[in-house]
Amino acid sequence: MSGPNSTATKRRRRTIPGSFAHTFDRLTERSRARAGVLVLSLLAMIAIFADLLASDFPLICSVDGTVYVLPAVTHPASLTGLDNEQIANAHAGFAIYPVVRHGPTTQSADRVARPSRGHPFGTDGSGRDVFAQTVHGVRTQLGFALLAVVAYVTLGALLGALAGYFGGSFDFMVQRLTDTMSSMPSFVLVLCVQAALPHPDLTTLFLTIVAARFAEVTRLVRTEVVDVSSRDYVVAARALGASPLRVLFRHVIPNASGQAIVSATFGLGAVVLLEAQLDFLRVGDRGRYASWGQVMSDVRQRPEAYWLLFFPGVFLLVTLIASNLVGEALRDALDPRAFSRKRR
Amino acid sequence: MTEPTRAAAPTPAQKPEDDKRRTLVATEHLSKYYPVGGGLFSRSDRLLRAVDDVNIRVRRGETLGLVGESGCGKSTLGRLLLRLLEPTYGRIVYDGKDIAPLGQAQLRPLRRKMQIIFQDPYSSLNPRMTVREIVAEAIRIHSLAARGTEEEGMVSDLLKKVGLRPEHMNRYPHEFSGGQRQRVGIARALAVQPEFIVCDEPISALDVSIQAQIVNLLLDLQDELGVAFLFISHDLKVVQHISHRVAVMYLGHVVEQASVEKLYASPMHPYTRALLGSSPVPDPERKRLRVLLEGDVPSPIDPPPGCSFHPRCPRAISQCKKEAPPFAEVHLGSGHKVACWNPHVEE
Repeated sequence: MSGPNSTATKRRRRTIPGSFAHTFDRLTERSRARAGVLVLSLLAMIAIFADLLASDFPLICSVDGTVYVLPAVTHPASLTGLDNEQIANAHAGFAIYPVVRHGPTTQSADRVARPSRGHPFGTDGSGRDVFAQTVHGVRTQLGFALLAVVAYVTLGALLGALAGYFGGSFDFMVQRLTDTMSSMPSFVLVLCVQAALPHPDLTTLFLTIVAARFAEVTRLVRTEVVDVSSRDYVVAARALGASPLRVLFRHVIPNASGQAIVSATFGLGAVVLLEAQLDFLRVGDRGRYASWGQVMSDVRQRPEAYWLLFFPGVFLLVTLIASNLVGEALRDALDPRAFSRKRR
Repeated sequence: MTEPTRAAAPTPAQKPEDDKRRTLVATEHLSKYYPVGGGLFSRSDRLLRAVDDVNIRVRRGETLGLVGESGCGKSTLGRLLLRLLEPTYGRIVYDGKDIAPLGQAQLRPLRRKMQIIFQDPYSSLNPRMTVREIVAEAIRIHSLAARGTEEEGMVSDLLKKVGLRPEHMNRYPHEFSGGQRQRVGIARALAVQPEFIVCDEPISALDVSIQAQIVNLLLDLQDELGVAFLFISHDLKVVQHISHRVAVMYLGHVVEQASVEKLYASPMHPYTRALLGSSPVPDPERKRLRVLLEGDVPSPIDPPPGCSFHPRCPRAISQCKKEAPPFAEVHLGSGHKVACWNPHVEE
């Protein structure tokens, strides 16, 4: 990121226009994109190390002569039922504690408490620590969104590629399917399905998001595959006797995957927002995982509790902005007209 | 570095007088129609006749030039011959065998014998593959060499053959000029040692100075390998230079076919005469035979009845409006075929 400019120029000269390396070079040239990538990496770090920031257990502690490393991750049986305070008061020889000594789901007696030393972001309507929920929320929200995006982009891209490449009645059916799915706003669709299901949970949410969002990717990829399929190098490969699958995977998909990648980047932000919206509206299953939307929805009972809206809201906003910055920069970096401008 | 097997290549081309030379590719009533319009529930009867009842013949080691305006069906015809498009009707006889009804799997061994070179050197090479990968793909598909050094030797020989340096093989297409890219395209086509190559306007996208180099390269390759070309172009001078025989297309039909000498010296079809008259002659002393055509090329969707050229033809007679002329020799045995009721015949 902070490397000298000369390496970037050297690499750019050797990379292929449209390739991932080239795209990456062009991506990191832009400062806004760099900021976006930086913020997303930071969020990823927070997600990975959430247990170091907020946890019910110490990072390292020695209880009754035994040393435990990261008991919040390993869940040793002997510590079940204890928390930071009890370990500190009763058992501890020594302990290193996380930044905030509360896990995301532990409820305390202090409901809707103002930010304080013990709860830097305050507590929510059930007495859960907002800092812990916000930090662990990065893990659950981004992790879930990442899984959902990978799933719907893969499904959408595969359908689009097959439809665009093979055409015929399969293409016709896929197109009508995407038309049907695109006619419904994905938020409304997911909301209705989750509200109508008797036992909505994360799996049904995942499946509904995949169903609601793959159509967009299918349409983008299909269009691009149709365009690429008519290029001369594809005709040349067919003339050489390459099998249809070889042509599809060697020649068509590598040159038609740009749109899917851009759409995935924007999709990450969109899915995070969708989750937050559903949780804010209290649709689906509540309370078993850290969620920004759940914390924010508690503000309805106590409108003066600004910390319920502010801290998760900032994280949500930052995630959306970062994913949109990267998405926009990727779109520009993959723009074929931009290559020719550079080349000539 | 191993020498590629030259023994398999056919004997070098002789001069075109030898009439007994075997036909390599011939078409019989070859047609390609595209349905136009029509909605979801109604099939339209209207057809775009891109290629209509075409009979041409390419002999071994020979170049057949194919000329005509844009949109007359030249490229479609070239791709039909290679079965890259499905013919609507007619036969494609390759080396004595009708290949029109074959499925794609049955066509695979034939793909080694017929290749294509494209017009646009920028879209004819996959931008994500190195030159080595592009040329070696052909070798791999047909298992012509073991991977590794044998394959590398073949690729570098092919690159040398088309005038590129073997060091170029690890570069990507965007690192080359248009002419060099066209050479890579030719190397890819030659990799399977074909007998027949469709050259689909291979020089029209290149600078004039590069055009001559590519034309000379094709001529040298023909002399060396005895490969037959269908040379599609709208550049009459280049076609005259490179071809043994020439076919002229208008609105999906071949209207005239003859040896290059006969066609350029005494064109019989009024359209051929107009076409030749329209191309500039770099000699102020020589008078051009100028035939000015009126009107535009009619739509191939609703071609005029009878001879499709009659609305613009200066020599049209009443029969032209009623009946399509047969494609036949005017003087039997001359090999000069023309589709016209009132051809321009000298003597």
